[in-house]
Amino acid sequence: MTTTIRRVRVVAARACLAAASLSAATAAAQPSLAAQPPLAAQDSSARTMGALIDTLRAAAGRANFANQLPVVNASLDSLAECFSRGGTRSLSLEDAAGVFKPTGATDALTIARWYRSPCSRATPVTLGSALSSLLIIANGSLHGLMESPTQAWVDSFVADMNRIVLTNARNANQAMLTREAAKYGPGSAQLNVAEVGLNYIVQLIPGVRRWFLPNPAIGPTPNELVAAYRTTDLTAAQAATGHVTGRIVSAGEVGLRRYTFSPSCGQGPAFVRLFHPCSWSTGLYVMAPRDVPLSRVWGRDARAGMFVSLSGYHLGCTLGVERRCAVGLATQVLPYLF
Amino acid sequence: MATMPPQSQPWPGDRAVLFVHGIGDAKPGDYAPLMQQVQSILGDGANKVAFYFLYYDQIDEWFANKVQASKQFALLVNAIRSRIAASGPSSASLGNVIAEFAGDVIWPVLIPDARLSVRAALLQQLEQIVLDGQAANVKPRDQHVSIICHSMGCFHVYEALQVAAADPGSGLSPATWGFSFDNVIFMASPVMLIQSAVRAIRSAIPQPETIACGSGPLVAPSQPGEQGQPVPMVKRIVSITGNMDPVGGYLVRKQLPWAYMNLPGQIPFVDNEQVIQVDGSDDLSLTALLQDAIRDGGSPKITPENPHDWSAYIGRHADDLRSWLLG
Repeated sequence: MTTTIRRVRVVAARACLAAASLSAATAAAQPSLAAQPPLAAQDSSARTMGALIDTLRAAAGRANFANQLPVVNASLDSLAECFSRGGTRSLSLEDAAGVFKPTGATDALTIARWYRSPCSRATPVTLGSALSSLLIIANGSLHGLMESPTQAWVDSFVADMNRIVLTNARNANQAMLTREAAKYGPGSAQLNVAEVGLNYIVQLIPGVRRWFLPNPAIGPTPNELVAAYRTTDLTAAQAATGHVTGRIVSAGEVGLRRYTFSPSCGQGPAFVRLFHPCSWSTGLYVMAPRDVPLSRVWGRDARAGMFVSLSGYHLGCTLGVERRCAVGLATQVLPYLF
Repeated sequence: MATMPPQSQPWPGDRAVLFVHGIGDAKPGDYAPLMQQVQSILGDGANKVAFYFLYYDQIDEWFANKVQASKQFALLVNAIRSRIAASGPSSASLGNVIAEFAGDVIWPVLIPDARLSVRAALLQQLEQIVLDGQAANVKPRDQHVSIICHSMGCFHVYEALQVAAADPGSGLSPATWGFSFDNVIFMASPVMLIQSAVRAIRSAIPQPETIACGSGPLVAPSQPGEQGQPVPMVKRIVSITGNMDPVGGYLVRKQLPWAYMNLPGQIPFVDNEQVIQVDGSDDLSLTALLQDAIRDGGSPKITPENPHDWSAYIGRHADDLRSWLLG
């Protein structure tokens, strides 16, 4: 194991040395940056990160940035090296903007290339933070030292990238609000006092709370605890006379509700809504020993089973000697207790 | 159909102002008189400004209906009531009103989804404003955007700006994108009051790390620059409160250090407010006024004698606002 790690280190070191030599050779082969015109004057359609880097380095060279702010200039050189080795110089403005998406980055190949690069392995820098660092330099001290055409090109590049990032961020916030509305807005399942307490407490319990806390980037968790006392479930049972009759019974439910966050859920006729629900739940279903309403549903003699709920309709079945299945609606007669 | 889509409009110039209201039951259009007041103050200059207003009470209603929030926070309200009562025996009745108000103010603190929702609504509005500016061919670094917030709106603004400044993915972080706000004007800000409450009950708050004002001292929103130096997100931060406004950190002309917001670099104003005395006591009249102002249960009432009134703050700083917003 130790030998393998050493080999990897040696290979990485050789790769770094080789890359450094190549970099030095390439730099030597290039004409002086200070003598180059702004890239904007060469090709205004080249909107890649490589073009931005070259433009910034050329501007830095002309402004003698290395002497004025050597640390920042070194950062720019280092970032240029990272983008070169990470194979991300060809990243277009649009693709680079996509890296900042809250819910995902650009294509997997680009990410894989970046993270395979020696630069990334040497320093824990994400592609997003490297892009941000580059833009910080573009908007920082160097900005005031750029000549007007270069400054205009850089500003246009940054503004266009910013427009895409702003649009993505606005859409992500809109998506978050839509999910929050699905879970908390009109039409969502209301919580009784017991459920409010349970769902609050579970957000404080280490190890469990992550399943019940929102993700600050995408919004609410789909999970919600259910603890309900249903007073109007309907079951069918054989009476002493031999006839099968319907009876109103009380039942308890303890389980988990899951929100689908589907954009088109809960629409259309009842049958369609049933199989395309905005939320579903399942868990433990308990009934009183006898088929009577408003009775105690817990204790040693209670009947237990499972329930499934879709779009406000639920079906619960108990096992054991007195098997029963009951159906009901989410509407509660005592909505603010249980 | 989009949920609470952001307001979007063409810019008549290179300036925009966003208003963010406090608690109440405000519906779109309710604050139109206040906006007209500001437009009147700005005179002809108002023609060059795009005015936005964030109405977010709909979100508060979601959570109030879903979880019956007010019943869950009696403990918190009691804690605040006892703390205010400790300021002096004559403050007891006032403490009761403020405690009820504070309960309304900070209940989103206890529900992570509530604060994230309002934050998302505010951020998407800010992002839309900058996009509207870009659509008018005003580059972000050349845009002049200001925020005027009042009461609970100040908390949401503080939280949103802290998140946006630190996250390049928001498109608003100052060092990455070169964008910054001209002004953020806090009026009767409860940010410090909320920080004190968060610290007192931190162990009872789910996901406290998502409350920016709850961790460490209050700071102006910024992002590390090219050499690690803070690049401010706001060029001018103004904090205005009244010496009779408990939400802004004053209790009967006495500053409450645990409730008065004091951001580094802020330009502070403490307005000298007068209320009509009842039987020689400021407390009693203030209690009545606060009850009227805060617990109205309807659209916000604009009454000049109310020490927490947004319109009164704007009226007292008309010249300042003209200078800040058009300068």
